[in-house]
Amino acid sequence: MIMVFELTVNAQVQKTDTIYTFKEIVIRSSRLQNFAVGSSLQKIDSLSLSNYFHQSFSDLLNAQSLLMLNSYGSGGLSMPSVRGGGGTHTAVILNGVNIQSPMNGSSNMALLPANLFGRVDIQYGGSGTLFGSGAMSGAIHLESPDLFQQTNQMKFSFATGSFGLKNYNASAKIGNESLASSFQFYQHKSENDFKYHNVAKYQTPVESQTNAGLNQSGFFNQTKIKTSKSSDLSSFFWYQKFDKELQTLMTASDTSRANQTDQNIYAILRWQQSASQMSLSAKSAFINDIQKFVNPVLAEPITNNRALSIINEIEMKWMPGEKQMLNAGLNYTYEEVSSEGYRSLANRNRISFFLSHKWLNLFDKLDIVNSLRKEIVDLGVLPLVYSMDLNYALTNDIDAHGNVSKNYSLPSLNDLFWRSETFVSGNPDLKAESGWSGEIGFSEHIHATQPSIVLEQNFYTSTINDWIVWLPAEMGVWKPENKKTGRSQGMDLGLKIEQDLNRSSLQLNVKYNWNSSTFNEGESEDLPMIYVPKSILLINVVSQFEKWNLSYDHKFVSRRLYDHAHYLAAFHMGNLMLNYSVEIFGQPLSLALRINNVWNVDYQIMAWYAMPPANYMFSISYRIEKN
Amino acid sequence: MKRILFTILVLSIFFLAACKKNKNDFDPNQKYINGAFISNEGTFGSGNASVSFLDFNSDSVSNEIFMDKNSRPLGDVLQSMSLIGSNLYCVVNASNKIEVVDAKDFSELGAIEGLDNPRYAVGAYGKLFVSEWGNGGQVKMIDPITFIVEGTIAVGTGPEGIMVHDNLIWVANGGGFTVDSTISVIDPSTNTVIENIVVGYNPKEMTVDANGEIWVICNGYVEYDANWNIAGQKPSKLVKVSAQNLEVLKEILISETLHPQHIDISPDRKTIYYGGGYGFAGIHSMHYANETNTQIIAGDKYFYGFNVNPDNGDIYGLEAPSFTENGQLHRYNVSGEFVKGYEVGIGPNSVVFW
Repeated sequence: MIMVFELTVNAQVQKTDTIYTFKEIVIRSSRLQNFAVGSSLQKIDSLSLSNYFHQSFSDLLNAQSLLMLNSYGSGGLSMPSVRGGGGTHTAVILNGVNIQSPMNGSSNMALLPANLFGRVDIQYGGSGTLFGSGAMSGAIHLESPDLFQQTNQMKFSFATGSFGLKNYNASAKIGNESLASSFQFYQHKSENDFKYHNVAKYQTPVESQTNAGLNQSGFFNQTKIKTSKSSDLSSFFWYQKFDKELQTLMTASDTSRANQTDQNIYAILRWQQSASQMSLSAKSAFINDIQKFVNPVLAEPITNNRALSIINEIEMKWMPGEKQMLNAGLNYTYEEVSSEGYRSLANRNRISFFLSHKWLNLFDKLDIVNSLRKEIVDLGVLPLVYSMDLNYALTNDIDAHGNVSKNYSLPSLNDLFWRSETFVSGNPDLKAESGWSGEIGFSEHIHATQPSIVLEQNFYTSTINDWIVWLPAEMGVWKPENKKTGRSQGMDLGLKIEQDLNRSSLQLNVKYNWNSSTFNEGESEDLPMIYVPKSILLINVVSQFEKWNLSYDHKFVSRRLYDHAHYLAAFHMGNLMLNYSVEIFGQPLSLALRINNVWNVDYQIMAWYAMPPANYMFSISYRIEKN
Repeated sequence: MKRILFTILVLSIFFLAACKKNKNDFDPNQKYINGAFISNEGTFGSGNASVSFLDFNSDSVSNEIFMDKNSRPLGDVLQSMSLIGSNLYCVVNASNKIEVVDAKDFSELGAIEGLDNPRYAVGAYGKLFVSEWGNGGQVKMIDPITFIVEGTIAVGTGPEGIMVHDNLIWVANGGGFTVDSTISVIDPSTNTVIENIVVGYNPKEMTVDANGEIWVICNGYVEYDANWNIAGQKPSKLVKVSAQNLEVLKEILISETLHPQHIDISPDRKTIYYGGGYGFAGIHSMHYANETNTQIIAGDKYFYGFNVNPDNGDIYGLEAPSFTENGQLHRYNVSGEFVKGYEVGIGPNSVVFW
């Protein structure tokens, strides 16, 4: 869907006894693929997307990446944290549009169904020049499927599982190479009334989790029209309603009665025109989040919020020769929040200009990208940010990459303007957070014989200055201040082994992250960051035998501070998935059983939010395809 | 009436005698003997409230004594603690419960649940009286042994400090998120409010002087406009109330713009101390009779709470620099000279001497 144009350049290098394709350069409209050449990127494969079809995007990321998903209970608010950054330091880019809420600066990964996206890439490290405010520690890139690449089809699926889980999904795609459209309806419900040992209470009673249910339903439509030989117009529309009870804390003696309803509309219109060496694209996005928070025990029991973003961007790519590429763009974003927590409507206008230049295949080995971005917010000008990315082929099988990037993150409108009758107040004088990030990495491909092996090592460092934290001020009023400096250092290691056998295949993917993150508030000594583990280990095993598919995802998270004195215990989490596919009337029927938390581990991700014990889900999917 | 009061008094003495285990009674398992328990609120929403113990014999602090003994968290926001005999009642505000422990070793005895925004507690007449912000402001009466809620008495908005004096229960209606200007006086023989006395804006705590009169710290409040600019302020005051006639005897202006929240008194009940809260520097003292300010202790510090040791008059100032890091206890002698500082838990707000 997102392709403006494709231009393929095959750069061949001849050696004495072998000819190999040094690199196939595919120029796509995606800024990520073209210009983030020095970043660590992870693409979530289609099988993993399929395994988490009935789960939330938070579940998918948690099981498949080195991100920490800080989830407030099962199905509750879930904010991504990459390499020690906070929830506002990871940009979430949907079809090229940053969907971080202007209200709180973050994105709730639990709101996103995993099955809406055709492609998911995770970018580790800062990329403020390419993706603007918020991309300080990492970015999550979501792309809906390309309709011109899909067969016409209908798909129905149903899932049922523990704790009242029900999931219904129906989708269809029709069209041809000039006009195509797809539709999807879904509903996901769960009571989340699991039993657990409440270690926070006298005599550790077995309790049923209360007030944790959810009901999520939505509609999704995509349309793509070929407007000429070299241009197309595509639209993306998604509406969702998400009712979530806010689960009772383990430390609470009474049942929570709080709940939150989110209604989200995401509409994106994109036009793209391409010529042989140049492309032009324009897109407009309308994002409207309506939120109603109810807690009868508060002085103000109901809070209605509405966050609106209107994002317009025009972008040009130009290849003046085989070895150079330029990218330039202008983005105008209007953000507005109306809330009973504010005294008046809060809004701001943001204009940013970005420019990237890429040297391709210098000396047949080297890619260099230099990028700049300048943003103006209302009448305030933010400092220029810039970055450099490198990718160098050390040998035929060993690549080295690295980047240095200056990044920034604007204060959210809550940070600036929140004003309720209770003891919480925004601070209009806040500055944008700013910082540096840099990394160097290597990847080695050992693929002469089976099994194929890929090794990866990345070493990184980052600093975030003027980190915004909420602190008590006069009269007990909590206000945000630019107080902290955060520093992170660490490394990511990866090992991927693939073995194809006669009628089967085996894949092992191991990733490990070691991270040290500290913060400092001026004169105080460095303190470790809360909710940031030192170690994350990820193991994904996939085995395929004819029509059977068995997958196992395992994640180990080391202990984490939840304040500056207390730790949450380390935990292991394993999910097992078994899938069987058979043809009925010549069309694929898929039966799947998954067991989450297969080792029945008691664990918490956020302090005193109970998480579900071992639980199952059974699903059946039937797809009717017509080529 | 006198007969009823006498009966209540006798019953109370029996009750207290029954449940009071003197801390000096020999008990080989007793861990905490001579010292002070510090109530640490913790971070709202994080369930990390804690209790610290300052051992007077070793002059050292043990933090996390509830977690250490019972291998579980105390809960979310420890607002206050109250002793009845050797039972310590820990009022955990955001968890809507009171955790009950044996102060001798901090072993758990149970939890009182089903509360509605509890704040402070006091034991009297065989009951535990608990101020709560819920339902517009109320006092719950609870059996301190069975933990059964026996009744509820409606009081003013946002009730805070609660104490027993002169056979009556006194409740400071602190205003909660809004404003109140009264203290409610409850007759425990009928469990009814017999008087609401208008004092000053947002009364928070009370103490009793050597003459048996009540002193109330009224916090005042700040009004903000739509842009968070200060639109006006109501002054903070010390108000003296006759325990006999239930009427205001005197009002002393503290400040038009500063708003202390806490009050305590010297062992001889002749020196009143006030201070603490947000933006009020130091702990100020005043003679109860001539009402002249005598000294300002640690005028360069902003304490979140403080208390006075009823045995020797030492003053314990509690600093909460943020609600994510540990706080500090600063001990001053009766002359106001700094003696020693100690690291305690997150958000220390008050001290119970033991």
